[in-house]
Amino acid sequence: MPNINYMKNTRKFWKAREKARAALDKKRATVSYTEKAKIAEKLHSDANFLKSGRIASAKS
Amino acid sequence: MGLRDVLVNLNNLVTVGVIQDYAVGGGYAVMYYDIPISTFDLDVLVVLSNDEDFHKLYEHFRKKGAKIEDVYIYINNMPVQFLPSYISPLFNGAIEKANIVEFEGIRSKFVSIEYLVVLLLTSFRLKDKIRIQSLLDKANKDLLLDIIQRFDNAQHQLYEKYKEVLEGT
Repeated sequence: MPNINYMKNTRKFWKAREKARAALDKKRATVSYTEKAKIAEKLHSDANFLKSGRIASAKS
Repeated sequence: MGLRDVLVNLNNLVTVGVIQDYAVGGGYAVMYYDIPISTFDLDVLVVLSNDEDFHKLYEHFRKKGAKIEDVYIYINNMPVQFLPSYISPLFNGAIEKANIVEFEGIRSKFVSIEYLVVLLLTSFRLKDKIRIQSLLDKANKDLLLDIIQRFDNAQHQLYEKYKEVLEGT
């Protein structure tokens, strides 16, 4: 891991993150039924892909 | 095009040196740990040293013509939010201790269940609380408490939130 100088004030980052997430949620909630069906289909496909995953190396 | 292509893209970012390392967190990591949820975006924790490197990451995608909206970079039509490690030691720890997972010949890194719970404690929206409750059954509680204690601070109040979740279960 590199030597990282952590930011002292991160409130701006967290605020921008939450604002963007809320905007995306709102945008998705207002899409058409056709679009919602496409999203659901993609999510289903991604879920199946994730199920194929096997841990190759774990750290505790 | 789906998650597979996005993971290939993320691995490529490491290969070309735009990021040093990464680990998937957020809703997709919750899904990986077999909790059925609905999510739209992909949270990716990335090892970057400073703001300048973070800017370079956005420039990399801008030059490739990727759609950038708010903090999201659209990779293969998926909104991806990059969380740079210099923001928080918690992000750095989560990447360092992430599991290497193999999907159909593609290797990727996903944050561990315990780190995932702590990351969800930082957001702590209603849906995060529900996700935490589902993940707790699978988590190593001693390890989880150790991570909470190591990264707790006045801003996130991780232990207080953890207690609140436990009281609600």
